[in-house]
Amino acid sequence: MTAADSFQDASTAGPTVTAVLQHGAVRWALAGNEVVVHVPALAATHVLDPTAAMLWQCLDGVSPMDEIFADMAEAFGVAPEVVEGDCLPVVRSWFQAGIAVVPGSTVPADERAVGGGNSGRVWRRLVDPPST
Amino acid sequence: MWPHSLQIVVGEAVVGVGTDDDELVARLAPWAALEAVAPSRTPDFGLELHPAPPVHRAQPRALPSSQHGTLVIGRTTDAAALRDGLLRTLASIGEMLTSGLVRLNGLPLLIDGQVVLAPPEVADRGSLRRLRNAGHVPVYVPSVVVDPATLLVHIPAPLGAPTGSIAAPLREWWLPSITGAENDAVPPRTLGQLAAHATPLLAPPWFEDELDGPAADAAGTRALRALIALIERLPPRIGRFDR
Repeated sequence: MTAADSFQDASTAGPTVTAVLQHGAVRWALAGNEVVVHVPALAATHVLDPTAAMLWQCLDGVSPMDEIFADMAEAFGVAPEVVEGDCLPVVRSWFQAGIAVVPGSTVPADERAVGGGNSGRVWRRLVDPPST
Repeated sequence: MWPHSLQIVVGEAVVGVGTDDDELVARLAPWAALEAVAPSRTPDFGLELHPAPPVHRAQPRALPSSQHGTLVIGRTTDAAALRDGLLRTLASIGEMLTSGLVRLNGLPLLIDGQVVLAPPEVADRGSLRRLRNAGHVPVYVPSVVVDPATLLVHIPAPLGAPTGSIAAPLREWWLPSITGAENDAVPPRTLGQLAAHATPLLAPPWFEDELDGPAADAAGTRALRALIALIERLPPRIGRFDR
């Protein structure tokens, strides 16, 4: 099951009732009125236009998507259905890109230390050099 | 196989260095690990000053080089410059990157007391003669720390040297053309697009435990913000780097 599928199945009432969270492994920052989302593990970077940037910053893992869409609809002065129609595909694309998740679905990082010989000292390990 | 395979302790890490240079072995002796740690691991860094001669007379001779894995950090006949750069690189391992600073991949070129940050691939060019003739002095490190607020570039002194760190203003830095072609380059239209184009220059962390987890994510986010701040302060030049 893909992340996008899990977004679809997370709530029997429909995907817009689900809360969505930014994936913990992404780094993002504001660039003017856009948002740049950088995923080092995938060497991928996404640029979110101003509307998507606003939506992205609302992903707190708590607020259901339909509430977020309702707030945006009020801010833009359009019907919530319009916002949902425009934004739901964007959210699905974020799941497919691996930058959004359903809360509770991420896996904790494993240990990154290596024991050192007989001294028992634990050394920090360097990232593997390029092409290894 | 390297004539010399060393394991040295730099801060909290044991770093593997392969070399054919006796002088480097002597310079690194004070940092030698007392016991082998993961001895079968491929050396992290290499310094080859005496590459094997070509099999055929018509083949070009390989230049001496310094490497991080298979990434060429420097390629030149200037052995002292390669050794200097590798020792500066080792000194930078584990350097704390304070908030607001960003480490960028690239080859720093010193000129008139300033730094031109050339694209990383320039380090692997066979000859930098034209650059040197124009007064550029390469420092063979794979990355530098930049302060977007002051535009100062920081390169540490060689490992073990009490002096010799470099702090110089960034004059210019380079990104490749968006399309990779010379004649149909499409400049980024927005700050976000420019930042996205620049993210490959963000140097990865040195340690594996800095790759993920909340602290790593926070550090990576700070670096991204610093990169955007640098772009706003000093927009990069885009195109083929050619002096």
